[in-house]
Amino acid sequence: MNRERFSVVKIVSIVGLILLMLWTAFPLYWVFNMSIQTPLDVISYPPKFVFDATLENYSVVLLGKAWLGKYETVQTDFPRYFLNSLIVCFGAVALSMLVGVPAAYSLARYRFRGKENFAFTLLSFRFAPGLIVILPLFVIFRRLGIYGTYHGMVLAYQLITLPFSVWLMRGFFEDIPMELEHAARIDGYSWWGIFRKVDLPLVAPGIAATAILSFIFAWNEFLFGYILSSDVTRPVTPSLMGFISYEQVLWGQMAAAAIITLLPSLILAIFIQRYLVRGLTFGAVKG
Amino acid sequence: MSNLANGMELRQSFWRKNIALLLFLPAFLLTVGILAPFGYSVVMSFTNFNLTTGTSDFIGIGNYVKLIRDPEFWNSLKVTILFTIGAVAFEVGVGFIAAYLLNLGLVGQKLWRTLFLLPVMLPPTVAAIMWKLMMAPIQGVFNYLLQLVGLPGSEWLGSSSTALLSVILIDAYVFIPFAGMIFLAGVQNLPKEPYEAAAVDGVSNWFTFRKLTIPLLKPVIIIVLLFRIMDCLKHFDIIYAATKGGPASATMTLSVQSYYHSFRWTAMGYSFAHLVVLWAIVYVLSYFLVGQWKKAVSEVHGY
Repeated sequence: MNRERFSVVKIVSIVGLILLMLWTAFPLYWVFNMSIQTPLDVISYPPKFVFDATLENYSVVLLGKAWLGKYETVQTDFPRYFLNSLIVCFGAVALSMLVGVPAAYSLARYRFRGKENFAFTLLSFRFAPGLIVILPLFVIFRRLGIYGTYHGMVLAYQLITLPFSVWLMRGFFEDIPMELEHAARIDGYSWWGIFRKVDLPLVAPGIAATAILSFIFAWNEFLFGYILSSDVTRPVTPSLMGFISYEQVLWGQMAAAAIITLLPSLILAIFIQRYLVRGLTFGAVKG
Repeated sequence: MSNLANGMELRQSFWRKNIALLLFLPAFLLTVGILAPFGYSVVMSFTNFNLTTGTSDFIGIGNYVKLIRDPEFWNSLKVTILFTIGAVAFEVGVGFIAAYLLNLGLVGQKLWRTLFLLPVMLPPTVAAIMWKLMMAPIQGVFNYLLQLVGLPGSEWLGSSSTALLSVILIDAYVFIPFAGMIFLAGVQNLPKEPYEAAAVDGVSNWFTFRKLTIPLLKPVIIIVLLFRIMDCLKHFDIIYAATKGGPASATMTLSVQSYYHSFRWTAMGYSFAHLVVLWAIVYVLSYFLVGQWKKAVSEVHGY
């Protein structure tokens, strides 16, 4: 009886797991499916699971070429948007690392007046509605003449990456036992020597994971790019909104653009899987 | 640790002592970029600042009085709260089941875990577009699959009665892995001893779950609630990409509403009033939840 009940539980669990995996994988599979269909196949009903695959959608999106077939299309600026995203995200991550690593070290290793207030000021942005910061930036940037410029965008995007980086790296520095630093001090290392020879090698994987996660967050960001960029500097994620207005005909291209946009985040995420729990909770849960 | 830090500080010269602040300052100066616009928003919510006319006269609490009398504001507040309750309940519930299923040691578990967490890293706007393609009422694959098993299709995002539920589904697709992976981390960090003791005492599984697992997982449960409730309350991108707040304001959250006030009607001052109210709600709730989290952590770890 007991054994029987056990196997029923097991079968229900396996069915549950299969359903969970279908729920996760099906949308990714299906949109990839659409992205390699011809314009006729993609709007056919019933939807086609088997068809002649084509890379036409990708070449249109990636090369920005106008479609010559039955379904006309405007030229997409997708490659430019993709490059814009790379520029802005790299810029924001580089800036955050440059000022964030020292700040995180300082928060982890020293005690100074108002330290926790400073730290919470950084964190408070995570829980504030994005628009409450973006709308004023929109007005201020226009007045300063940096609206729609790359450096303006980098300054805005580092508001996403910097607070996150400082909080996460603070935790990585705090994981290093103080005793190690004391031992190095007794061995005659200078402050800089300790930081470079003792701390840095130990936190290097954490810093790398932080940089990659920041990059993903910046890449996935929508509102900052949507409101603060010009047509020339628009990043790829907000640029996808442009496809929506033509969706009736351009389903295949839209699917291809979606797949290309999500690939960098997905691939990077697999590399830093180990740090995801910690990263997504700002260090509150150490997975 | 604080004692050691203290000892170190004593031995440091004045310059050495200030190094902490010097290291921190650049990051802080950049973050002032966060505080300055925020203050600007609060101040501007007391003006009739308008992008087209260029006016920005002080009108006291005029915008807030208008807000209270504005049925659209109350609608967007209602939509925001319904969206938050629906999405968080769904994500926490399924996330919990997922954590259980992925911790049973079934064949290929490592691969399933990786697959499971992929959607959490999708750009939310992309997830919205993906689902929009699948939810198309006529050629969409969802209605086709429903029809295959003999169920009627749905208008999904296209009808005001199903739109909110549809965007909750999309949000759940992205954030069930968030809840699931944090619960999973919590389950893996559970101490073994209390469970061994419970097994010796021969208590039922349900009793162990209720009296042992839930209390021990309280800190991670609160963390999931904290992040998800805050993110849902200020939610913008999935809804904007999927429905733009429609149809007929059925998915018009506070953030989307305030976006329209500033960019469609250029009434910035009024838009800021929406955001300040939203921020106040988020702030009070997060303050409360962070307090609960600290309490739960100290109960579990006993310090």
